[in-house]
Amino acid sequence: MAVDKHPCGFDLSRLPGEWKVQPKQGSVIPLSCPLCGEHLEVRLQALGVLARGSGDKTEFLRWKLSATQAAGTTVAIGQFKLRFGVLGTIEPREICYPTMPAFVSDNGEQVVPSLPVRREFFDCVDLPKLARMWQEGQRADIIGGEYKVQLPLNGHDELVEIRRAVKHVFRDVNLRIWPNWPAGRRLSEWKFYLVGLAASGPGGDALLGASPRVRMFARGASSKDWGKPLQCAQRGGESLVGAMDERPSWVGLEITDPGRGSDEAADAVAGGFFFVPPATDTAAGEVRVGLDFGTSNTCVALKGEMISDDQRPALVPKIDEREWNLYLLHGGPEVKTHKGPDLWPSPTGFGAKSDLFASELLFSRPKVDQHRFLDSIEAWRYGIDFGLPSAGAEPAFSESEFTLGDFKWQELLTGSSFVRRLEWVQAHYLTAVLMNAYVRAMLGYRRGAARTVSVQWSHPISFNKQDLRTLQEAANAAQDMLARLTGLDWTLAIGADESVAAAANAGDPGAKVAVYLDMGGGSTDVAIKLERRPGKWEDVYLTSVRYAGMSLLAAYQGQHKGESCMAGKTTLDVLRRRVREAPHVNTVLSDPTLFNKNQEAVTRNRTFHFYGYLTEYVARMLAAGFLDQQFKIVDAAQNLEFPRELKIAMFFLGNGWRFHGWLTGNDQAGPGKDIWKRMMELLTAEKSDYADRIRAALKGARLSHTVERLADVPHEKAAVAFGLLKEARKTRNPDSEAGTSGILGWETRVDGTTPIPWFAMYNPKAGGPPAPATSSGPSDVVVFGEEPSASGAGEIETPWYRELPASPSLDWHDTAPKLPLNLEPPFELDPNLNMTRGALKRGCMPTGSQRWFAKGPYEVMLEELFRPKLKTIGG
Amino acid sequence: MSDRKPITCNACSGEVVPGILYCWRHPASPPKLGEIVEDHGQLLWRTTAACSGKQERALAVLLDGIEVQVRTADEVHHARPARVSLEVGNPANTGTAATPVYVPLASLLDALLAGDEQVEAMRLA
Repeated sequence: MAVDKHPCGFDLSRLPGEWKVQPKQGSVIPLSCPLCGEHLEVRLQALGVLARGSGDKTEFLRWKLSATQAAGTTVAIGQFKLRFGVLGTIEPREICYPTMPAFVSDNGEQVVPSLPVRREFFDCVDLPKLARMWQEGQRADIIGGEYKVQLPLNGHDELVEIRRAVKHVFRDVNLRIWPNWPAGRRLSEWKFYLVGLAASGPGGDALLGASPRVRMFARGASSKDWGKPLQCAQRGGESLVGAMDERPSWVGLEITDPGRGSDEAADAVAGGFFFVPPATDTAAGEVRVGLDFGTSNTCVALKGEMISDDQRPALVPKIDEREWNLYLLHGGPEVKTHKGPDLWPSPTGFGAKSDLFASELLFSRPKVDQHRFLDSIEAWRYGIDFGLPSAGAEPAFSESEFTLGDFKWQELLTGSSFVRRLEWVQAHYLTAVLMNAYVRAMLGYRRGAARTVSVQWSHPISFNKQDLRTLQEAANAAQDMLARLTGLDWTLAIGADESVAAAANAGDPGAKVAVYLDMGGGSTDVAIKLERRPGKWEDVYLTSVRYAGMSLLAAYQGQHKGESCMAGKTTLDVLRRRVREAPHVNTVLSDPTLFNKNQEAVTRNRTFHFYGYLTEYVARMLAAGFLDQQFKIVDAAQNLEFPRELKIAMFFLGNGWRFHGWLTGNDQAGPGKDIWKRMMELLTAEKSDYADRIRAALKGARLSHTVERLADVPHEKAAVAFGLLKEARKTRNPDSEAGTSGILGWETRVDGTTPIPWFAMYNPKAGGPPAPATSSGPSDVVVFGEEPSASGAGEIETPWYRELPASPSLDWHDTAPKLPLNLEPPFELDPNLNMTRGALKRGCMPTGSQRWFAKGPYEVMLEELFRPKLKTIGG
Repeated sequence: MSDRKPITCNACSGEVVPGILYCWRHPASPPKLGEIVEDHGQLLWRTTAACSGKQERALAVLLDGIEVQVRTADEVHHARPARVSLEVGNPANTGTAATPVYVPLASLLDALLAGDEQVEAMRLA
């Protein structure tokens, strides 16, 4: 009788010796290896000897295979002998479940388990031989209503036929494993697997549902945790899930009497195990990943041979559920209406092309209960403790109670207990997203599996140091978790910041100025670049405001119930999910179950104001580019001059602009025309001798604009993720590089006397006002002024503003330029700025003793005044 | 050299067979019953003080079928396979450089149990 060799090479069958087996030892005899001294176990089941009972009353039994079988009390392993006091006999059928369950598959056939043996007798079976037989097609079957299988048993050379009655037939259940791999490409490195049993229709209630009568088990090569049921109940009890750290080899079900499924003492009335084909393939090569972790949505792009031959990046594809899950039983399609949270990974994403991940975690228990487990958050497991919201599913429960969102920014989670472990919240999210994306790419493109995964992640430039540090820690933790869970080599490294990454996709629109306006759910990043020298692009303005898509959705909700634009019981979470899933926002805005038709004027007005305040700021920045002489370029004589021809190309990126098309009835143009028109108004209306000289210098210059779309990017939300794969340049170092720079946007009086113009730049890194630049087929072309100017711009003096006095007092008056008439001005929204004055002071002068502005007052008002007050704007 | 009286483990009185290093009857912390040393250019398995009585067996070492001189011998229990690491050289010329080789403990046990007087060494990969 063969037994496995000890890892040191010792073969027990070569040792002349004898061991007297004591009943109290049970089925495993603990010895030591005579060569290396390490632990050596003799498992009696592997020798065909079973132990029944426990302690001193343990009986030892061996197979009874014929009536004439010789009696004896010794079992030999080569030269080594085990001597038993008493050695009885047992028939093979006695180690099997009393009856076998059958399951009706979606094609009407009955499916039965491969192995009828009870889990406690698993080691009696020659499992490798049984696996070979399964692969060769020698499988269990129902013949004449009776279950029949040929089993190879340890301690017996011949196959033994087992027959059992089939008394229970179940339908509408799916027994599944995630991830599934294509045949021949099952990754042997991959460690993390989920095993689940889920109802696929009303028939599933016979097993799961109100009176559950099933226990689920899984066993991998290591037998770790063998015998422990996988019992995480999800979907309101319609699904049982367990997680494993190795590929399962066998997955089994035990059927009890109704309602006793969770009672471990309840006898199994039927049961059996299903074989899982082993992993045989290994990963090779590298894939690069761009990760745009957004406030509302996350986008993942991949590039490498795993995706295509031509090194083009691509997003994660949608996968058919039959490819996504390895079904051991398939009773029908997965249900789309969930009675409770379903943490099982979803084969499809959100958005018009199903390629986005919601930036949310879904818990199996309400958030208010989940936070009690924060102390052990490091041990949370994907699919068990948290999941990612499933696209295409219809929650029949209050999803928002179980969902945590807005965890990209510490500020957005203020007041939530989750903020205490924010880096781990993010780490789990990033781990789940990246693991999910890898599997979808592998299954969708079917070009192999990369061994090395190099992820570059991005962040908005408005991230403060704490936000950046948190995300950095999360990425490090995610890198470790991914390596452990997948067995692959992961690196997560910080890449270009969001505006730089998005801009990396721009083609050559033939413009001197490029304006990138990337509006996501939580922030809008603005990057204005100038080709100051041929081929040399410089960042002129680079800033980010926490004023974006979620601000608009919150505005629809209103401050109070009576101010809401939403219909009936529609909540912000419901609206957010519907926006995320809708192919076009018009389907959301015209849905009477979401929006109150009687409030359409209010909806429209809030939308108008939302975009209006932001585009006003962008228009002011562009006008400032001229008035502050930032748009001068180096001429042939190496002097800085306003160009005689200047085209401005605008790029509207991100999902945040989607609602603008509803206002204008045009999805394509974005608010580019409005920004342009307003910029020209601002440029011509500024009243001062200095402005006159700027205008004189621009006289005759041909100014124009275009609205551009990004090259080779499937949609606006993919810009950052794609850009990360193109942009080799790293993000700015917040400690050593220039950092953000916008404009003040609002004229400010210092100490009641000194006016600082609205078009001046702020720059938190500068010790004083930023220095001016130094010489180190467009539409709607406007010829500025009437005649070309003969005078060089170099003759204009540099702007007159100067450093601030120590501890200045700042006056916030509604000075010129005023907002356009159709936008509610700041003093209407907040009389005398009583509510905003403190925020302005803190935002612009955080220490109180700066020599220059750390942030522009207009940006502070966007975040602290306009954003909250959008909720109160009426029709 | 052998005794007719069986050699046993002092702790459990279990019989000691030539070639074993630990008493296999113990579930943990097994007594060290045997050791392998270099002796006169050969390998020598011998019992330790943890045994009642003494016993020893010598084995010549072959490399590529030719007997070599064992210069040093070290038991390496935690190597896989567990082994005795040797430095061997030409017995006719003790001044030549030694060659590192090893003998799996399982091979040594087999040889001693079979009553062989020599064992083949393996070169390091």
